[in-house]
Amino acid sequence: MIQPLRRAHYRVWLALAVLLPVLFVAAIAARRDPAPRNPQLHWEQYR
Amino acid sequence: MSVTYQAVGWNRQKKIYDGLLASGIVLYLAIFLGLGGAVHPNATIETLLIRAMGTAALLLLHVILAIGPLCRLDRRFLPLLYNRRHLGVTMFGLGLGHGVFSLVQFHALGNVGLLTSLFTSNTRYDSLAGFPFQALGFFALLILFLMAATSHDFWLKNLSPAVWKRLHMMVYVAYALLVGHVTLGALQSETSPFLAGSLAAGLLTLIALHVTAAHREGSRDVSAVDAGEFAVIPEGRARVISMDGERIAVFRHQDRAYAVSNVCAHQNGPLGEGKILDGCITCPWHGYQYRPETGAAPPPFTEKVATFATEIRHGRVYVTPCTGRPHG
Repeated sequence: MIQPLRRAHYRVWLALAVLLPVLFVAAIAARRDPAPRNPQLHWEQYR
Repeated sequence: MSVTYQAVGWNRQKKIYDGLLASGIVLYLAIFLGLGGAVHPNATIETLLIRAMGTAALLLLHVILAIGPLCRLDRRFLPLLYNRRHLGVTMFGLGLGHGVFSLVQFHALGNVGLLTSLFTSNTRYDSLAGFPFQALGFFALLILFLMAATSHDFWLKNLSPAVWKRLHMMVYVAYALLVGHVTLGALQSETSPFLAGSLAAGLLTLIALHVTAAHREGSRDVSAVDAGEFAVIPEGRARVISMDGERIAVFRHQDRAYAVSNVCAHQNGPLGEGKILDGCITCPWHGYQYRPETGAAPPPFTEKVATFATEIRHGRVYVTPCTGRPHG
């Protein structure tokens, strides 16, 4: 009863072990530098 | 046989556990808001709350997903398993708070509805850096809602354990969506190596725990117990063997071997002394019946006995000590 369920969990984790690190690395690699801060802009005054 | 069920009651241990959980979350949120306000003095309280609840939910989800394999590796973690559903509902509550605050903060000022804005304000599905990551969080939250709403024993009983378990295995889809939500969202603008490193560490820890637990169980399966010659077991009857101190009835049915616990779920009658009638193992004491393939009583009855994997090699039946689906 419990064993097929555990096998299913194991297969899911094998798939996640491949998929998620690839997604993570690809997303970090695709990261762009944030826009540089504009020293002339003081947005706090518009609060 | 009975169609009733016994729900797990609210007891002192669960109350203490929930008290500790609530205190821990309040403490986490307070520390996050305090430190966040000090480090980012320009951040609004709404922004800090969004971040605090989002990180708390993600942290809790990692804990929840680690409990299963930890219990299989070390039985001292079992009390966590007993209370895991409360953790799950709490995690959903935090995720819901994060989602609602984000919707209001980022989508309430337009001239379209909140959800319309969520799905139409960014449609760059072909870009990793600009991916509409909020949609991933929305679908993950939807799955977590279904799980939280059906977490009570009432739904376990009414949906049937098989359907309920399939529904709750969707947590892995939710987890994958949330990893995407965070890496394509927060980690695109927050470039601190601590944040990316924390998520990577959580992900790798979960993968390592699940794979290690599965391998350890797999290695246990190898030591099958010889249950004797298959041919000498009469059709529809059983031979009773002892394995790890437990009595197992090995039945022969339509030239296949099935192993079940020898103990009837009704009054501990000796199933191995019964026979197979109408395709069901029938207890000799009161006629309780179980399907040899699954150990489950035929519907509408809900009793079950443990089953064990079997294999026929060179005319002999081998039974593996861990419970599983019989074959052979």
